[in-house]
Amino acid sequence: MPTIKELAANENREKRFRGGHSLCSGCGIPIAVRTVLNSIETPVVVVNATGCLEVATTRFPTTAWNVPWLHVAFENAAAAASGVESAYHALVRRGKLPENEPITFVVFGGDGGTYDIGLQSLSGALERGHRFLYICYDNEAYMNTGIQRSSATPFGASTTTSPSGKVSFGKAQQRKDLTAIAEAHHIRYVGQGSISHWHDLSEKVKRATGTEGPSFINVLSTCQLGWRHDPKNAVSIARLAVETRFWPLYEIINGRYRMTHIPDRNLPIENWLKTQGRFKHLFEDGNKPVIEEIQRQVDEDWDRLLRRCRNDMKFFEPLEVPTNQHHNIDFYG
Amino acid sequence: MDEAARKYNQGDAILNVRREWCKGCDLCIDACPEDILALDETDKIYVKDISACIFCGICAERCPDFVFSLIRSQKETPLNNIIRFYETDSG
Repeated sequence: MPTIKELAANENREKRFRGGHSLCSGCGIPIAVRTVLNSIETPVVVVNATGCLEVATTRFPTTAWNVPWLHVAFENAAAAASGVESAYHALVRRGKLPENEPITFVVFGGDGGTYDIGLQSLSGALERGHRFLYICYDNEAYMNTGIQRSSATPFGASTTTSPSGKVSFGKAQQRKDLTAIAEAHHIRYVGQGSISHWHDLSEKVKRATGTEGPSFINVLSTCQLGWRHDPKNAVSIARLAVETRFWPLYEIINGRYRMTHIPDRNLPIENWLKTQGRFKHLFEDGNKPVIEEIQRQVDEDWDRLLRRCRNDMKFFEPLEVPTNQHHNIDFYG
Repeated sequence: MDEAARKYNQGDAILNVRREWCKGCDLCIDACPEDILALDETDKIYVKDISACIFCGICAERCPDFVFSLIRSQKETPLNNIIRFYETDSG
């Protein structure tokens, strides 16, 4: 079980991602990236789809990355990672790389590059079964290009392409469940994490990199510009998303659902909505039904998830995890 | 306070604060269990009272801009026990 001390020790050993990047103050992405990279013990190769992370960390002639790093377009990050992984196996076959020193391939993509544009290449790579870990940092819109809506944007959120006003209450469609889509490829490990629960995320990364074949983790990240909140609230807002059941933390190991964090309190979704400027219009006169609809969707998704967890593993039963490294798993993560 | 970097000592633990990298987002102030961090008038982070620091490393893990770095002794000390106490409460 990784502790702060271990994560810090990993980082002291080799700093894989460094400061000096130009991500906004209070951005959630570097927290996710650090937690992921510090949780992996083997050498790492990073493939980065276009997005905030890529643009802000590699401004010519500087870079914030201390690992082999490949930038590709929005749509082909998973395809490029497949190629890198295949090249690695080819080099091992020819004796150019040692067999007993595995390398972990990590892909970082935003929600635009994963939910929308990169979905076909991700689906292809998951189907072909390349051994890599895909991390989607989901900040729920195209933040890098100016806060356009994506299919990860929640119902009712105001963005520049789904603005709120007299005729519209913001985005009129429900966001899609990418974690379930990834699970539908029947890969060994799929997880959903949040920057607020770094311990949980770190454990998920360890389990994901220990499994065979591709793995996918969807990480909720915040964006102070797009969500319109104070930078200092980034982590607490991500935590509130988990506690209000908007973003449940769970994982799917070999097709079996397992909840890793159960919120203590049954908080209404308003508590999360009112922390952000993008939902401000929902608290004006006449928009109460929209909040009720969001609450209905959240409850429905939560019930659906609970049913799956209950059916699969009787809810609280610990699960044997298909890795040989981590036997003792605390259920609560 | 205008130094670009500051080094704080307590026993054999050292907390380095690279103030020039700070973007003033307040995340570490929110995360600090002892509430000893603050922003100065130029919106850069500084440590108000190093004697209260328990060297838990949460600021170092949380900071998106790598302002903090922590060097701790590997020996078993009462300090390490306090650190362990806070780690079990993580989540």
